[in-house]
Amino acid sequence: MTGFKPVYRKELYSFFASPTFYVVALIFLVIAGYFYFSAVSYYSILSFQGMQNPMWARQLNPTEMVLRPFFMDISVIMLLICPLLTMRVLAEEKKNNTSELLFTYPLTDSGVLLGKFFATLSVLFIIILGTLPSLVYFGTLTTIHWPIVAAGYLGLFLLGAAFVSLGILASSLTENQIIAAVLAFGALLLFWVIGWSKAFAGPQLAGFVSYISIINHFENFAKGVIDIRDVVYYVVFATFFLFLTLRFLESQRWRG
Amino acid sequence: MEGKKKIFHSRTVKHGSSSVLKTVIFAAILVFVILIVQNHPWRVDLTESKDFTLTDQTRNILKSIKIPVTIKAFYQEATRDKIKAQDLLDTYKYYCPKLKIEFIDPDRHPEIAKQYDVKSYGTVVVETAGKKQTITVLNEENLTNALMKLIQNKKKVIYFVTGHGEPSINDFDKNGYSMVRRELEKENYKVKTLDLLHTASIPKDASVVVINGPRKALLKPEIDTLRKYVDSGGKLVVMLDPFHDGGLKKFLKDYGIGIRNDIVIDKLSRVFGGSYLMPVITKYSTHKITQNFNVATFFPESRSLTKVEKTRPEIKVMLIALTSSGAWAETDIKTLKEKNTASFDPNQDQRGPVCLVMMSEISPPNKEKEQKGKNGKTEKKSTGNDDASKKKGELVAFGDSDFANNTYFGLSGNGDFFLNVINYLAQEENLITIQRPTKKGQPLVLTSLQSRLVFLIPIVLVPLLVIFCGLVVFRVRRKQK
Repeated sequence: MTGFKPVYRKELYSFFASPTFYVVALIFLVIAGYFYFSAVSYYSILSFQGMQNPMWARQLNPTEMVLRPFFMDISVIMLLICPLLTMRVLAEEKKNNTSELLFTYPLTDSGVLLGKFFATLSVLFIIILGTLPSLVYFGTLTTIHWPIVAAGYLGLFLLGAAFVSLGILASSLTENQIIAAVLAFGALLLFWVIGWSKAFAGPQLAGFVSYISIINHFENFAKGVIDIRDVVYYVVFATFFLFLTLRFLESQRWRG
Repeated sequence: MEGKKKIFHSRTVKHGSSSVLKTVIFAAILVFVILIVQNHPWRVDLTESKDFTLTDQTRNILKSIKIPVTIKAFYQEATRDKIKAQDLLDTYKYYCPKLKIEFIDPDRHPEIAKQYDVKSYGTVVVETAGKKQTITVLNEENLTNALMKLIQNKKKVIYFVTGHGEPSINDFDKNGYSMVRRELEKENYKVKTLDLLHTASIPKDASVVVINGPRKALLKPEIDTLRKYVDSGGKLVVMLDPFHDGGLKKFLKDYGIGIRNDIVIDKLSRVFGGSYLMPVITKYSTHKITQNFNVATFFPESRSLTKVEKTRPEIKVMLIALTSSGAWAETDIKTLKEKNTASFDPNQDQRGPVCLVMMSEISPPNKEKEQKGKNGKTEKKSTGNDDASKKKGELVAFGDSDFANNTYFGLSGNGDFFLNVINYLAQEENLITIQRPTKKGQPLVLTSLQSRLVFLIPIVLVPLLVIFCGLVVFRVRRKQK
């Protein structure tokens, strides 16, 4: 596993040095901020109306009204920005012809790959953490139950890991970053919407389809439940696509 | 050249096949891991009030489920209610993977909705081999009870008292009760007749005893048997037609229900195509029996019931069904019979709304114990069969018996209403009460400064910080160059 640390550091450095990171972070945070703002405003409007109807007001609570929809919204934006972060990871090396150099260093392939994977994941998570200040402020306005927030961020982290692994695989397939981004986005979207076919898939297939769906496993985290099955799904998902990437990188050597 | 190509080719095949093999093996290991975890689920509920954790009672019942059970939930797509239902059913599924959960949109599949007689959104049908239970309000208490009823194998017995000219449950004629029998058997009950003269006490397996419109008076020993039964927690239904009190006037009075020699006249039923003598009920009091029940019921030729003010302290009387205020209880039977006319006499007749169905609860001497369960939830369980002295006796009186006979059972909501009463009486003792702490609402009212900050922090301040960092990095990089 030699090579993890230097690659990780180098990747982080190049992320923070590139304008892409700042643009992506900016767009992500503005959209996420907007969702947050609209969720809190809606909550406030409903509370105002709820004052006339005490029965109804009982249903108002920050977890259901703000946190859960907010985490679901963030997962959607992540789907859009993840390919933009992962597209350059391996495609750029290929384009600049540095990949041969990189893989002939005395570093293991897996070390290099994991370094790149975790660097991208860290960057993604740093961007996501940019939403934390608004939640902290929200916590001063009403009482929120912080473990639920922690579960939400854990879910986002795992979802991010799955997104990034698939994005890196896409990036390893081509030297064109645009193609890498489109491939990653298409594949992720497919994994997202496949769960919707549950309604018309046969009874046997329905279980499989809803298991495969990448977003179905996130809902538990968003509502404050950590289920080992969901955690394992994301870990297995990420591991599998990283493994495929590794095989693909390896094949480049003997395919000549 | 040829040789070189061959070597190259064989190398590709070798590496390629080993790569494919590795991938397949790796995928197999991952699938194995997934299967293990799927079969041994484990989870933590981080919510404050443990919204996604079931009570111990429910979990115990789920553990005892050995047969496949399907839960069909009829909800519109993408509604808040559906999400709530999904959360609850997912939680059940987590504790009991055997459950099969299906969501059906009744608008998209009206045929399935019709098959299960679904009348409103949010109906949930719990089904297992040939048996089903329907609930209209989905929560842990109702769903757990429905599951419990399903997995119970013992059939409950409903006794119909005979020997006083009551319509027979085996009579297929228009005045018979064979329809009641058939419908009760469909609901998984056993229906038997009971001759009170030949038994010293009501059989132990009786869930409900029904006296449907006796023509002759019951004898004193028979009434004593009934009294003993109700006082020790029995469930009794008494249906009395006008002019035939079955000798039960005093008996009913002791339980807070008064009857008079009258007949109810209701002009409203004319609107529905009935006669003046067929009062119609369109509104019901708020009671579990009539929860979510809003179909009109018709009571052909019925007598009024009144609340007796002075009763024993342990008796609680409730009015279940009342006519409109336009109806009244006519006492001038002679004029009615001879001249076929009736008019309201404020001195004699009781003004509407007239009560046609009444219920009396006879509390046991000492109160049920409440236990504090785990997770801070209050769990209360009614005592079982063996502890008969602590059961609550219940008596439902109808001012009519014709409404449920073969002629009128299928009319409007008559049949359902009768079945509701029987279901309520028969299953009360097994019900589990699950009280979740009621969630306090947390309304959020923002001042103008606060709502401005809600906007400014995420949409302006944080993005500005990102831009600032970007500019700093950009400058540093330029200097380095």
